[in-house]
Amino acid sequence: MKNSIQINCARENLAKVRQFVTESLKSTSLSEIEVNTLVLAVDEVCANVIIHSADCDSKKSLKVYTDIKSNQAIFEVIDKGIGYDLRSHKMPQLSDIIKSKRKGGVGLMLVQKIMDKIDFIPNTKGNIIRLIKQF
Amino acid sequence: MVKIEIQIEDKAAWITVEGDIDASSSIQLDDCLSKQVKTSQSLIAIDCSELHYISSAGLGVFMSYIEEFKANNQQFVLWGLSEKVKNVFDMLGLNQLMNIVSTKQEALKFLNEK
Repeated sequence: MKNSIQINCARENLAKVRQFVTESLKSTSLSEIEVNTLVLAVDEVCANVIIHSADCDSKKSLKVYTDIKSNQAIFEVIDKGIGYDLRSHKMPQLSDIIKSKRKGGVGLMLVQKIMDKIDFIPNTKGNIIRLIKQF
Repeated sequence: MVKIEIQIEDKAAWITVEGDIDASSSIQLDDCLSKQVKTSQSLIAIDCSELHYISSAGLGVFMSYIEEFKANNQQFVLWGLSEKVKNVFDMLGLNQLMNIVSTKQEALKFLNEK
């Protein structure tokens, strides 16, 4: 089965990533809710890369790799943009976001809640964000 | 892709959200909700029964109107969420900060309670 997808860095392409991740998890016994949370985590990371690392430049691209085993799923998002170390992201307070009427800021909070491990590997050939979930 | 429809019924704005709300489509939700602020509708009810997916971009839009609707004395209610969509709200504890109910009848109670 195909275990990677490449998309141009446009927000409209996030649906393709979600479909790819959903397909890649079909061989597991995860529930629909669990599959949705993993799809969400990859979607959030890709949205972050598209907006912050690639500056929504559709001439740039990103790649998503999956490695699905019976006891764990590994997802890698690779791009050649400026990179953003998710691990250094300071988590805002939900109450502050609501008070300030900001429309963003909870995506990485969700990724941290969903995944067991998040790695950021800067590389001259592309920044790798690796997400690991144990079943 | 998301399809949003609004039906104004006396004191309530019934909004149907169908499809996926992600970083690409959340602007449509934002446009729709911004038009409901300071209207004479005292209930803003969102039918999420055909909402198949929501990411943080969509949650962020909903969150950004909590205070605004409250300040204008408008009740803001989401109903009909599927288990997987509700789970995303629950993960952040938004079920404690927003009115989320199961049915349209329960949503209507918020209008009648006013």
